[in-house]
This record gives sequence, structure tokens and C-alpha cells, in this order.
Amino acid sequence: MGSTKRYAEMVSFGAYLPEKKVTTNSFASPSELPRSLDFVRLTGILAHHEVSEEQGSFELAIEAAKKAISRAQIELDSIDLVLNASVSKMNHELSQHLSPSYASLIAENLGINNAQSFDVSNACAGMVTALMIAESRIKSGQANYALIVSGEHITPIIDEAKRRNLYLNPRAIPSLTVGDGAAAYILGPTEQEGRIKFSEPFTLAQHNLLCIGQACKNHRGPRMRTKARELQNSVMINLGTFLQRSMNKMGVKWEQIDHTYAHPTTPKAVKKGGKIATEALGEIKFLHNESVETANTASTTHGVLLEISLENKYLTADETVLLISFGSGVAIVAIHFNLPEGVENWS
Amino acid sequence: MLSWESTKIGYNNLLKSTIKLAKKAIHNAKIKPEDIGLIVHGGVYREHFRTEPAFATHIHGGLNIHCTNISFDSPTCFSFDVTDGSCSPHIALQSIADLLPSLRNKFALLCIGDDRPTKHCDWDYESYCVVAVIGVSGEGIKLVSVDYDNSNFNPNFTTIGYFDEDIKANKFLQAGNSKYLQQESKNNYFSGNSNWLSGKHMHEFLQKVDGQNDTLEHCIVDRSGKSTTAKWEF
Repeated sequence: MGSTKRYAEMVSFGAYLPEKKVTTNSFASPSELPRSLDFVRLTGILAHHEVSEEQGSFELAIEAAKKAISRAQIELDSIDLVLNASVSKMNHELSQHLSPSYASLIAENLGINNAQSFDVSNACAGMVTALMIAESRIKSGQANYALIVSGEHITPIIDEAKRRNLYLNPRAIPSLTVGDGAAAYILGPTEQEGRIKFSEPFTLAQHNLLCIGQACKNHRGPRMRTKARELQNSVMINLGTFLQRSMNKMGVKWEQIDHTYAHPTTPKAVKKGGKIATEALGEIKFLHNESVETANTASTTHGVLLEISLENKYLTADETVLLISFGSGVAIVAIHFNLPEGVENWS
Repeated sequence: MLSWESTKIGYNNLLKSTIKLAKKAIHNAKIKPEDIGLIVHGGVYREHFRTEPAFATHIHGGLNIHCTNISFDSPTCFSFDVTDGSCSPHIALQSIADLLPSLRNKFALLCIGDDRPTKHCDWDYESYCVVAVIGVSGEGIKLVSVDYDNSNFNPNFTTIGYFDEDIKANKFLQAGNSKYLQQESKNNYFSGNSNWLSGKHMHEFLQKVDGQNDTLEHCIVDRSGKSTTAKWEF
């Protein structure tokens, strides 16, 4: 690109949901929950997807990555950075991958041999954190094309929650809001400035104990314990100011954002957040709140929602997208980007 | 790198040690905790194989850096983890170099170390905790580049955490019998043993820093065969 300035842009994205769909009422009916909770009414989640017997986080990630690479129409050799951001890294036998990076194994499986690869871990905000790193690498010329990928096999925490008696463990109830899924993004270089922008990233570490995910101590598989109300409040009380600061920092006009996606802990929570955002900045052009049948797929949620929008033919090249990301810890960060050329024709 | 601290730790007191060392490193760098805008932790093993939140958020909370709600002019600090086996220290350094220039506060904490996941895990590692203050400019040693080499990577040399049904407890399992590379030290080059954990790699490297006055290359080879080389300038 000679002496011209170099920036990064979104080249493609893709998401994958396993075929098996499980309805919320099949495992969380009012008769099974404390105080006869109507979980569907409380959360707005009707169903989620679950892996098949042979699938784990890795297999999900590979499916999403293949889709994103095929849509990007680039050679595998041109990808020189692979970042994995999954929280779960769990195989079908519920063993957790530790080392080397999951990204290395994903790159190897895909035939990407010359890329630097490592894992970024920031709970549900992991993918947006990884996108920040990738954007910086491309802008500085250290990378050309970056694959950011995540596969989340997290539904075993539903079984754990139920097994541990929800009447005695109210902090396990939020474990019922998750689903399996995968997402991938390809970033690449451009001479055009401003096609990707990031908010200031925040970690509100005073809330770092509100959601803990780890291995069960006396049973195979993972568990999650969440102080759901406190966690939601920690985000909601900061959301309006965060968005106002983000618009200033990114130089973006709220009313000109075509598509807005927030991390869907539940569709009900997204609705509540949308109300706060509207009060702070005005009407939202299009708030995508379509996780009713996918639930919370952790780090992959934005990719999964983008894929649903694509299937619904909501997306057009060059339109602008805002992804607002929240993660345990509590991380809050947003990315604004222009949709890639040809997005309408992706299959 | 404006200052650093490292110490050998027991089986599972990484967080406590990291916070203690971070306070010392921040003091020695002649900055205040509130000047820190980024905390990146690199390592592989966490207590009970914890997956969320990031370990760095626990360090962040323990240091009480900007633990307030967001206002229109409140300062920010961002925390996350990176991992790639023993190469994690170099990945963490690179991630800081990637993000720090664009943040409001121009100092970061690099934190490296591992905890023994459970008491049932065989653990013959020497665990070290390392904390360094990194600035975008200053008088310290300068990270010039980090290169990677995948040519000897063997994807079968993996480590997984699993539940041992016989003893009803979590352990980890290392697949593949990799040939461990021994420590190698020349004038301007240092490479550790490929059986070391991240903390020990960084700790031993930092012992070589005193007395250097030109450049120093630090190579880390992971047991999977992947390697990274950081070039430092004095």
C-alpha cells in the first residue's frame, strides 16, 4: 500500500448453531423452579441450541471459521493472525483444553500454517477484546488478515445447575439462560479510515465476583454461579454514560447507526438496556433482539445475532453496526463498523 | 519495561502474590496505581480451571484501580487474559504493545503466573509470579519486536483438564512425549527449558537483564514446539 495510511475493516463474519434445539419449558418449567418461576416470561428465552454427541467447542468454532473464510474470499495463506476467544474450550467429553492455545489447534485444523495464534480470555467480552487486538495489529502492519473465532459449548452448566437443586442454589438459575454456538470474524486491511472504531474499554473490577465459571469440584463438567440481579444492575447503571462517552470517542452519531446489537444475557435484559439507551441518546434505529431461540451463547452472541440478521435479509453493504459487549469481570466495550461489500449475497 | 518484580510462589497463592508484587512494581516505577490503564495476565493454569472472569480482573479489583462507576470524565482501566502455553508472557507483552498507545492512561501491568488447579494435580513445576510495569515511553528496557515460529509445532502435544472418575476430582493430563529443550544462554541470547511454566521463563529472563547494555533476545519454546522470541534493547 506504499506510503498511504493503513486501517482495518470487517471483511466477513459467520456463525454456526448446532442443529439440536431444546425448548426452555422442557427443562425449566414453573413446576421445576423455586417459587414456580415462569422462566420464559422472566427471560424471554424460548429455546437454545445444543451440540450433538460428537461436538465440542472446537468443532463449533471450525464450522463458524469455515463460513467466515469462505465469505471473505481470501486465500488461507493470507491469514497471519488467529485469535480464539471462547470461554468454554470444552470437548464432547467435558474435558477443558488448556495448552497450547486453542487458536493454534483451530489454525492447524483449517490449514492456516503461517499465522501467529493465541487465545484471548475476557468472558463474554472476549471476542470484542480480540477484535481490538486484531485491528491494532492490522493497522500497524504487523498482520494482514486476522481470523477471530470462538466456539462455545456451555450447555453442560444447565445440567449442573439442575443437578445441584435450584431450590437451594438460586445463583445457579442464570445457568439456565445459555446456549451453544460459534462465531467468527475476518478483519483485513483498507486504506479507508474509520471503517472500524472502538469505544474506550472499561473493566468495572469492583464487580469481579458476580459471575464465576469453573470446573465442578466433585463432578465432571463446568459450573457457573451468578448474582444475576447485581450483575445486570452493574451494567444498567453505567450503560447510558458509557454509550454517550463511546459516541464522543468514536465520533459516531447515534441516530446514524443502522444496526445495534447488545450482548443478550436475555431478551428481556436487552429490552431494558434499549430503554436506557433511548433515554440517554434518543431512538435506536434497529435494536436487534433476536436471541429468543438461541439464548446467551457467551462470547459468540453478537456473531450469532448478525447471522440471524443476515438470514432475515436485514443487512446491506456499508450500513453501520454497533456491537455492545458485556462480560463477567465486568468488562464493557463496544465496536462500530461498516458492513462488508457483498454482505447481501452471502450464503 | 519501567520496573519489575518476581518471586517463587507456593501452589495456589498467585493472586495474593501478584497484588503484592504489583504494588511494589508500581511504586518502583514512580507512578500511582491510578495511572494504570491496562492489565494483561498471561498463564495457563487457574484454580479449579476457572474460565471466567479473566484472572486480570481479580488483580484489577485487588489493586482497586478505578473501581468506580462510569462518569463523563472518569479514568478507565481494562483487564483481560491471554494464553498460548509457555509463550504467554510474550503474547501478553505484545497485546499490551498493541492496545496501550490508544488508551488514555499510558501505563500497563504485565502479570504472569500459574496456580496449581487442584490439590489432586501432580505438580512438579516451580511456580513464579512476575509483574512488570510497562509504559509507552520511558527509561526502561525497550521491547523491539516479538517473532513467532510454528515450524516445530506438534498439535498432539496438548494439555487438558479432566475429571478423574476414580478419585472424583479434577486433574490435568499432558498428551505426547515432547523432547524438552534445555536452557541456553549466550551473550545476547537467552532461552529457557521448554518444561518451564510462563512465570519461570520470565523470571529467569529478568535475572539476565542486569549487566546487559546492548540487546537481548529472549526465546520461549513451548512443549508443543511453538516458540516466540522477544528482542529487547537496552
